Formats: sequence, structure tokens, C-alpha cells
Amino acid sequence: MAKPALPTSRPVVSRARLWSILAAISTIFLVYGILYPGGCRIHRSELEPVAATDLEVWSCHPHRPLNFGADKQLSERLGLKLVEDVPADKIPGDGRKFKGGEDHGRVIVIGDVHGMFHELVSLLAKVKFNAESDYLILAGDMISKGPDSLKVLDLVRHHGAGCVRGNHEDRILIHYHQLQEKKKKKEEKKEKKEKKKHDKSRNSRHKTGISPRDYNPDLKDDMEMDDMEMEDDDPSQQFISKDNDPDSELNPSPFETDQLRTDQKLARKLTRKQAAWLNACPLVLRMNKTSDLGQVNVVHAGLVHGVRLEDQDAKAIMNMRTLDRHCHLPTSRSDGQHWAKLWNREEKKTEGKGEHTTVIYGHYAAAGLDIRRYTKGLDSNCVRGGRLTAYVISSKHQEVVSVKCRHYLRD
Amino acid sequence: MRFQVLFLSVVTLGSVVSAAAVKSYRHEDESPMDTKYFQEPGTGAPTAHYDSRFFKEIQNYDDRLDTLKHLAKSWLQMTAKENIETWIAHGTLLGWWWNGDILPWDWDLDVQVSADTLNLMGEKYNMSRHHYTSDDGTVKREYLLDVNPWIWERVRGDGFNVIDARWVDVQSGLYVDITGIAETNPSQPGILNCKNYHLYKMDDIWPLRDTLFEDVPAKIPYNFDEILMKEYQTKALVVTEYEGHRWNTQSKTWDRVGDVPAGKGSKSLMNNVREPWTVESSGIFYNTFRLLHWW
Repeated sequence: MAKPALPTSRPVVSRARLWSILAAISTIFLVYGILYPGGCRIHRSELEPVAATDLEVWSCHPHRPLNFGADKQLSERLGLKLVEDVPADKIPGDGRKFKGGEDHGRVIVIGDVHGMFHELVSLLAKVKFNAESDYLILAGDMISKGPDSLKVLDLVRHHGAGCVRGNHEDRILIHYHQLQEKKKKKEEKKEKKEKKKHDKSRNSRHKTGISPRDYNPDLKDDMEMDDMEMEDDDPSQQFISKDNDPDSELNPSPFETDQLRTDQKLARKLTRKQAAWLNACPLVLRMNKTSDLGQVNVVHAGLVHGVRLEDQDAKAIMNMRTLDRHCHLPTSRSDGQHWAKLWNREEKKTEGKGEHTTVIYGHYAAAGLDIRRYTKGLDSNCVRGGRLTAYVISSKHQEVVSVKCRHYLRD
Repeated sequence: MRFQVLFLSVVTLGSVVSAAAVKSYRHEDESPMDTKYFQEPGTGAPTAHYDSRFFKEIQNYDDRLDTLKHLAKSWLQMTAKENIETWIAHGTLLGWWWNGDILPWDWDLDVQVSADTLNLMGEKYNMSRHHYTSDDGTVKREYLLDVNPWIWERVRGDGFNVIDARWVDVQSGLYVDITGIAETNPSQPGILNCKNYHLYKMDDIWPLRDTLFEDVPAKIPYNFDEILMKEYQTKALVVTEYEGHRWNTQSKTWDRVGDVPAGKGSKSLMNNVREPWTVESSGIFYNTFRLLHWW
């Protein structure tokens, strides 16, 4: 009895096994079918060969100085001024004579003021700023976020300060230009309408031959200016969405984020002179042969080592924090390698061989005050209750001076 | 034992039926393209880049580039004149990044608008024809602005109508793809997406920057470089040999060269990387959810 039992039970077990294998296969098929349906599946198979071939085509050599998109003249195409030289008589260095003795004739670089007017005033007092002999440089982001952007702007303009364009100046100025553009279009439209009206009334007079009132361009300009300035102060005009321009109906600009709203508000408050002054700030302010710092480049955010100044990505100069580890492409994220780290490493390699370049910058509040041999990071987060820092360069030495700030922004 | 066999048979049967259902569902999804509004004569390059209604022949290298240049110029000039807010995107933006021109191996152009602009475009300009004369007066072209009736749907859906509108050169059938971006997720204000899973922060798009593209005034997103790096990875900003072209550092142009492979050997970066990586992760999560939901 035991013998025939085996052959009958064996097939049952193997059949069950067969079934379970079948079930497993169809379950896998089912799960796969649901996980990767249609588009995604096609898309995956398309991506794979690319990843493979691209590795061959582009391998970024970390030691090779990389000219990413070499000389795209990006700054020119964005309408930004790339570099400006500080006049030689303002640069402290060996063998130069300054008004008022040895200790004067300094360059004072201040980062990220962000409208913290009182702090700026007390910092200038602390470094005993002398408008006659000292040259003040703002390393960008002097406006926005804080309470007194326009007061800061007027003070530094009054002192004839040098400046570089920060990411916040950049945003505000783009808004400003667009608002101006809109106003211009509106004016043109108004003019057209008036002309039409005028023509009509002329026609209704049955062309009596009376010449239309002489167009006085000067008068007209004055009127326009008054009109514009009034608009500047008119609180009802603060948001584009309130414009009654029928043409703008096609572009219901979705200005909805807090940043867009506050930026636009500040852009509306800028006077023409303030905007013109800001717009003249280059991306890089260059000082040749500065005491023992060598060449000094003041920028807002940073520079990529090994890339010529004119080949640097104009936008990244105002925004970068770290570099992509493979290609040294700059990004505003903080998860790569700090650009300053690369800068110092590479500059140290050529120590004792020719002139070095030191970069003074702001922007990186998260990294705080960051003074290294060839880079000086000055953003010590004043607007969020940190400190406002100045880097003071005199002919013999440099020092870092700072004051405490109110805790203005809390987020 | 009997119970086990019975159980396994039920499971197997169920799986087979489901699998068949999925298969037929997928079949439905892929082949007939019933819902697809814009039709092209083919599915791969180059025929996928022509509009079926106007397609006659595949243009040669020079004619195609010439047609694309006028397409770009005419679109930018028309939108400026009509006060339609638009900015260049994807591969076209990448071309701008390199030298302000079209990438010479590209087959179509990409621009974006806000979803509100898209709706108004549909109301006011759908199926409108526009005449264009080049600056030097030598080239006369006609363009059709065709708005996809599926613009009301702001998510991917079946994936056949991710292009919201087209600016078509009626002479050749080459076109500009126009996509709208909108807020579709109420829990993520300030985040915009197109229908093909591209996500944008509002602050990365606006304020738009003024620049020139193909020597015509154009607008680009505020944070153009971060957008490009997210969409194409850093390689697209670094590679200097691509699709039969080499970047000329002297003239700042992409020159056509014989020693750089093109075509099937090196598939077009633009077409492949245009689908962002987010597709995969969100696809899996979404489909796992669908799987659970099904059960």
C-alpha cells in the first residue's frame, strides 16, 4: 500500500510546485505591469543607453580647469556689467601715499547689509570710516529683507561707495525694469488714445484749417515725469494685478509668492536715481595689487577657480554656494563642495609663484563668517540677528570688524 | 493537499486574469492614441517633429535650421506684439545658454506660458494664422497657432496631450511646442508643473529675464541655470561634442563636424533628457498607490 502511495503523492507535490511557480511568475508579471506601465517603461529604456554613452562622451576631469560653455558672453546677453576696476588711487598698497597719513586710505568691504541701516551706521562708526580717504565697497545684497533698504542705498550713494550686484539687487532691478516697461507702454497707449481723440475733435470741427496746438516735447516730458512720480507713491498702484490695462489681461501675471510681492513693492519704491546707481554695479569689482592680498575680486557670491573672469557664469557670480564635485559647475545649493575650498586649494598650489587672487564675498549666511587665506566670506547673517561684518584693508594689514545686529527676520 | 491545490489554482487564475487585464489596458494605452490631439507622421526623430497636416518631406539640415530660426523669431515677435507673456524652455533654453541660438541638431523648439495665458490664448487666438516677413524681407512664411482642446486638463492624464499648443510652420510642418504651467497641487502653493512632470518654483520662473534669442528680444526664466541643471543634469552644460557637432570656443558656435558621431550612435540628448528623472520616482509611488487602490 505504501508503494503505490508514493507515485500518486509525488505528482501532486510537483504539480503544486508547478502551480506555485506559475503563480509566482504571474504575480511578478502583474506587479511589474502595474509598476511600469506605458510611458514610464518606454522612458526608462530610452534613458539607459544615454547614460551609458554619455559617460564616454563627457567625463569631467577634476584636475582639468574647465571652461564650461566657454565664453558664452552670458553677462552681455543678460545686460549685466561683468567687471569694473577700482580706481588705482583708492587701492591701499605699498609705496602709495594717502591723505591723512598711514592708517588712512583704506578699503572697507561690507557684505549683505539687507537694509539694516542702523547696524551699517554703527559699523561705519566702529571702523572710524572717513569718507575723505576711505573707500567703501558693498559686496551685494545691501537691499531687501531688512527694514530700511532705501536709507541704506542713499547712505552708500552719499559716500560714493563701490558696489557689486547681489542676487537681491538683481531681482529687484528686473522687477524695476519691467515696471518701467509697463509704464512706458501705458503712456504710449494713452498718447495714442489722446491723439485719436484729438483727431476726432479736429475732424468734428470740419477741418477748419486751424493747426493743432503745437506739441511741446519739454512740457510733455515734465508732465510725464510728474505723473510717474505720483504713481510711485500711490499705494493703490502697488501691485501689477491692479493695473487696469486691458492688454495685461492676457498676462495675468501670477505674482503670488511672498517674495515676488515684497520684491515688487520695493522695486516700485526705487527712485530713478537709486535704480540707475544700483544698475551700474558690476558683478565683479577688481582691485589690482592690493597690499599683500594680491589681486582682489569683490563679488557677491563667488567665482569658480580655473575659469577666466570673462568666462564665469554671470548669474552664478551672484548666486553660487557650492560646486558640482565632478565638473565644478556652480550651484546655489549647499550640498556640493564649497567653491571657496577649491579656490584656496588651487591658490595654495602656486604659492610663491606669482601673484595670487583673493576673493571677498557675501551671500553664504549659512556658512557664516568664513575667512580663509584667499577667500573672505563676510555674510554673518545680520538680518537674522547675527552680526554685520566689515573687512578692512589698509596698506599694512587687514582686519575683520563687526557689530551685533537686531533680530529682524525670524524664520 | 486538495485545499492547497485549490488555493493555488485560485491565486493563479486570479493573477492570470489580472495580468491579462493589465496587458489589454496597456495595449489600449499605447497603440491607438485615440485621445491624441496633435498628430505627427512618425514617432521617432525626425518625422515626430513634423505636424501631420502640413508634412510633405523631411527637410535637409540647412532648410530645417532656417525654418526653425524663422519659427523662433516669428513666435517671439508675434507674442511681443500681442503682449502674450512667454519664455523659452527645455532644449531651446539650453541653446540660449550656450550662445543665444538654436541648438543646430534640434528638431523643434520649446516655449512655455502660464496656464492662464494658455486659456486666453485658446479663447482669443486659437487656429489663427499669422503672416511673417523676415527682417531683410527675403523670407515670407505663414504660421498657425493651434491650441490643444485638452488644455483644461492640467495633469499628465494619458500622456498624449502633454503639449498644450503649437506654433506651426504651415509650409513645412515644423513647429514650436507650447506648454503651460500651472499650480495643480493645492498643498504646494508656488509650485508649478507642466503636463509632463516638470516642476518649477514660481520664484524660479518670475521675474522673467530679458535677453535676446536668435537676435530677437526674448524672455527666459529668472533661475535659468538651476532649471537647466535640474532638467538636463550638469552634463548638458559641459559636453562640447554632441550629435555630430563640436563647440567652437573661438566663434562660440556649434560646428557640424564629421568625427563626432550622430544619429543612432549618440541619441539626441535633448529628446532623452527632456523627461526629467522625477518621472521614475513619482511613477513608482503613484503606481504603488494605484496597486493598493486596485486591491
